[in-house]
Amino acid sequence: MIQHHIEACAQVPGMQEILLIGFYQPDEALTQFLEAAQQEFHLPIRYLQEFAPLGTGGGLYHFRDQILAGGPEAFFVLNADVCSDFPLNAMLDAHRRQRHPFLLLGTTANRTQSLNYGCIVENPQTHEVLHYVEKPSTFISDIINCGIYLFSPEALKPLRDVFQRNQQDGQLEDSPGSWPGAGTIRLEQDVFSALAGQGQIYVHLTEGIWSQIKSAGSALYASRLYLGRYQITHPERLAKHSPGGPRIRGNVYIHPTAKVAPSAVLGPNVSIGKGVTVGEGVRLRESIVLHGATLQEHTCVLHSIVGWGSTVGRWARVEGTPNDPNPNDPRARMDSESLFKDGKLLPAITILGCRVRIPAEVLILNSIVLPHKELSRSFTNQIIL
Amino acid sequence: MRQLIGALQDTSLAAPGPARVPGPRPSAPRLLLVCGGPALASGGEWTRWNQSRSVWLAEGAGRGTAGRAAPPWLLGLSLPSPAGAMKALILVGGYGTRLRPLTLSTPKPLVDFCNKPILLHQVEALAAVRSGDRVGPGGTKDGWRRDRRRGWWEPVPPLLSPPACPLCCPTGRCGPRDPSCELHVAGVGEGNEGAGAEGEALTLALFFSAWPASHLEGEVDQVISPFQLGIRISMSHEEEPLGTAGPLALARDLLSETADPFFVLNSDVICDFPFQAMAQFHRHHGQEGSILVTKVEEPSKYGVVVCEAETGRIHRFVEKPQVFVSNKINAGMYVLSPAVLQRIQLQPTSIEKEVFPVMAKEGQLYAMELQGFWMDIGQPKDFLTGMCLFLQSLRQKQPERLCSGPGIVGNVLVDPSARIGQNCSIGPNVSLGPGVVVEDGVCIRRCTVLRDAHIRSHSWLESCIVGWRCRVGQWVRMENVTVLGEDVIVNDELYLNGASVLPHKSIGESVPEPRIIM
Repeated sequence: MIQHHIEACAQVPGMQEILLIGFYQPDEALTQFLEAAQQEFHLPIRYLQEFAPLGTGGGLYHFRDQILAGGPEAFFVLNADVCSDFPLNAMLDAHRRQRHPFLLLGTTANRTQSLNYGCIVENPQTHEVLHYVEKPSTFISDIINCGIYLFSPEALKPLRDVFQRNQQDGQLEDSPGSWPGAGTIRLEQDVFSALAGQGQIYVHLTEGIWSQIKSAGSALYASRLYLGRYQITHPERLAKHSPGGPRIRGNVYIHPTAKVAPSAVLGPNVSIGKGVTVGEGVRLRESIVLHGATLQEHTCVLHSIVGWGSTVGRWARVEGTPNDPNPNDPRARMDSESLFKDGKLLPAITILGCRVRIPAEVLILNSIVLPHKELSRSFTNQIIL
Repeated sequence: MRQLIGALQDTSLAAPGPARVPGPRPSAPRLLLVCGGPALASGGEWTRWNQSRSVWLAEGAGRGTAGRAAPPWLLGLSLPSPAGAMKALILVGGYGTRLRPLTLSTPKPLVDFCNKPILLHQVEALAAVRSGDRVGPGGTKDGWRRDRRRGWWEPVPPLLSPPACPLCCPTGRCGPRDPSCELHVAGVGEGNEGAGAEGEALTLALFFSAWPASHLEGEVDQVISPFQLGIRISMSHEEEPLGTAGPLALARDLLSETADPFFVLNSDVICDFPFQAMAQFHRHHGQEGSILVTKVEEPSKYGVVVCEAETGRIHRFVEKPQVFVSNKINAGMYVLSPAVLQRIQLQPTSIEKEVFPVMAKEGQLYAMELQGFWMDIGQPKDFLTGMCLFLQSLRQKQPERLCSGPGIVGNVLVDPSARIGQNCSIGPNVSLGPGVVVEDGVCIRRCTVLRDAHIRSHSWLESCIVGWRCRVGQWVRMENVTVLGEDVIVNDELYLNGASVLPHKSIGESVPEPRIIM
C-alpha cells in the first residue's frame, strides 16, 4: 500500500527524504522493501519505530528532530491507510502562495457518509478551516479530511503545546491505563479541532480519487481506483490481451513472474501478484490474488482476495459481495466497516488468509478464512477460524 | 377415431382372436382408455360417459385424495397374454404439479426419465409381459419378431434414440435409420392380414383432458411410436363440461368384460417392473387383489402394509405409524380382479383408504414383495434419486447402454447425439438427453440434462435437472436440486442454489438460497 505513497512523494521535486513512523515491529520484509524502494526512487527512506503507540500526532512530535533535520521548507504527513492520487504538487503550490502551519487535503462526501470521517468547515474564499470535528454525530459539513497533510516547521509549536498539556493532565490522573499514555497526541481532536478558526489551518480541496482503506474489503475498492488511475498515469502497467495469452477485460495488473493459462479470462479490476499460477479456464473478476497463490483449473473467483500461498481447487467457486460506494454518486465513500449487523455476518468480500487450501468443487461465499486453514466443504457467510 | 371405434366394436376384447381392422396397420384392438380419473385408485368421480361413441372412454372430474379437482387422465392398455387378455390402467395423474416447472411445458408422463418418457418405461414393461420373458429395467429385451412356433409377435427392445432400427441394431446405438430397415419395421405387421391367430399389436389410446389434443398428438406419436412397440396412438380431448358419474359405470363394464384381472399402475413409480410375476402371483392365490409392496428404510413417512410372511396375505394397513409396525409400503402397483369393482363407490374416495382396508379384513388382499429398487419420481428430489437407482440397476442388467470413456465417472447415460467437450468430468449418475451439448471443462454430477440443452464451458452442476433447450452459461455453479424449466437462459458466472426456474426465464443474478424464480 505505501508504495503508492512513496511513489507520489518521489514525484515532488525537491523531496529530500521519506520517513515512516509507526509502532509496527520491523521485520525482514519491511527492511527489504525499504531497500528496494530506496534504489528505485533514489531517496533515503527510513523507518522510525515509536516506543509506544503515540496516536496520530505523537510520533510527529517525538521524532521532530529527525523531521526538521536539514531544515526542510515543509513536510508532508500522509496516513498509510488511504488510497489517493496524491495531488502533492498542487498542495505545495497552495502552500507556497500562502504559508500557513497546517494545510489539509480535503474531499467531498455525501451528507450521511461524512459522519464517518473528519468534517471540515471551510471559508470558501480563503479556504481557512473554521471548524473541525472528527466523526461527528450530526451533520457538520460535506467536506472531509483525507488524511493527507502538508505542515510547515511552525506546526510543531502547537504540537508541543498539546504534548505538554497532555503530560500535565496525565500526571493528575490516577490510573495510567485509562488516559492515553504520555506522549500521545491525537492530531484530529487535539490539534485541528482546537486550532480551527484561528487562521492556522487551511484546506485544499481535491476532486481526484480517494478512499480510506480500513478493512480488507475496502482494499478491493482502492485497487479498482488505482487500476483506473493507471490508465492515465502508467498504462504500461496494465495487461493487454495478446494472442496466446489470457483474455483481458477492463483494468488488469499481472505481475511479470505470474503464470496465467491462455484459456483464463481476467477482469475487470484484477490484480495478480508475484509468482501466482492461474490454471486453465479460470475466471477472475474484481479480485486480488496475492503472491504465490495457485488457482487450479476451471475455478471462478469473484469479489475476493486470495491470500499469499493459498491454493484453490478445481471447479471451486470463491465469491464475495461487493460493498462499493454507489458508483452513480461521485461523492459516495465507503460506509462504516462493521462486520456484523443484528448478529449476522454482513455479506462482504471473501478473504482467504495466507496458505489457505480450498478443496475442489466447493463454494466459499461471503466468508473470511483465517490463515493456514485447510477446508473440507462449502461455506456461506461464515468466519472460519 | 372412427376407425378405432369401429375396430373396437368389431372385435371382442377378450379373446386373442383374429384381428381385422381397416387401415394400413393391423392391430387387435386391445385397449383403451380412458381418460379419467385419478379415478380408480385414488377415487375420483367418473363424470362423463361417452356412450355415443361406444368407446371405453371416461373422463374423471377426478378428485384426488386431497379433495381438489384435478384434470386427470389415465390410460389403459390391454395386453394379450397366454392366459387371456389382461388390461392395464395407468394412472397418469393430473397436472403433475409436484414436478413443476418441468410439467409446465409437457404433461408429466412425457417428461423424459433417463432419456425415455416416464410413461414409456411402464408401457414397455407391460408390452413385454406377454412374451413371457423377464423384463429388464427400461423395458424389453427381445425384438418384435414373429415367433413362428407360438404364432404371436414379441416386442422389440427399447431404443435409445428413435431413428435406429431395432432389428439391425439391438442396442439402439447405431445412429440414423437405415432406410432398408423399413422392411423389418414394416414386417411387424406382416402376416396379420388374413386369418390366423397372429399378431396382436397393442392399441393405445390416450385421452388427455388437461392438455389439448392438437398440441399433444404429434408429440406423443413422435415419442412413443418410434419405439416400435406396435402401439397405435389415438388422441382425444374432451371439451364439454364434465357430466355425471357415468364413467365409473363405464369402467366397470369395460373391465368386467372378461373375468381376467387387470393391472392398476401409478405412473410416477420407477422400478424393475415385475408384471409377469405379479400376474402369476395373482392367479396363484386367486383372491381379489394383489398389491406390490417394497421395503423402505423410513416407513413412517408412508402408508405401511402388515402382511403374513409366507403367503403374503395382508392383515391391515397403517397410515404413517408412530412406532415401527412394518417396513413394507405400498409400491403403487396392483393387480385386481373385476370383482373389486363392485366395492367402489361413486364418490371421491381413495382406494387405499376405503377399499383396500375392507378387502384386507376379508382376506382378499395379498402383497407381493418387490425385489430391487423402487422410487416415486413425482418430485425433483426423488426424480434424481430415482435416476441414480435406475442407472445403478442398468449397470447390472444392461451395462452396454451406459457410457464410458475419458472424463466419464460411474454410471452415466448419454444419448448418442449428445456432444461432450474436452476436460470434462461427467458423472456419477448423470443422464444426458438427445442433442445435449456440454462444452469444455464442465463438471456434472448427479444431474438429468434434457433434450437440446447447452451447458457452456467451465460450469459445475450437481443434483440439478436442466430442462429442454436450456442454455447454461460459463462458470455457472448450480446445486441442491436446482430445476430449470424449458428454454431457460442462465447468464455466466452465476450461482444457483436450489432455484426452481419457470420456463423461458432469463436468470441474470445469483440465487444463493432456494427459491422459485418466476
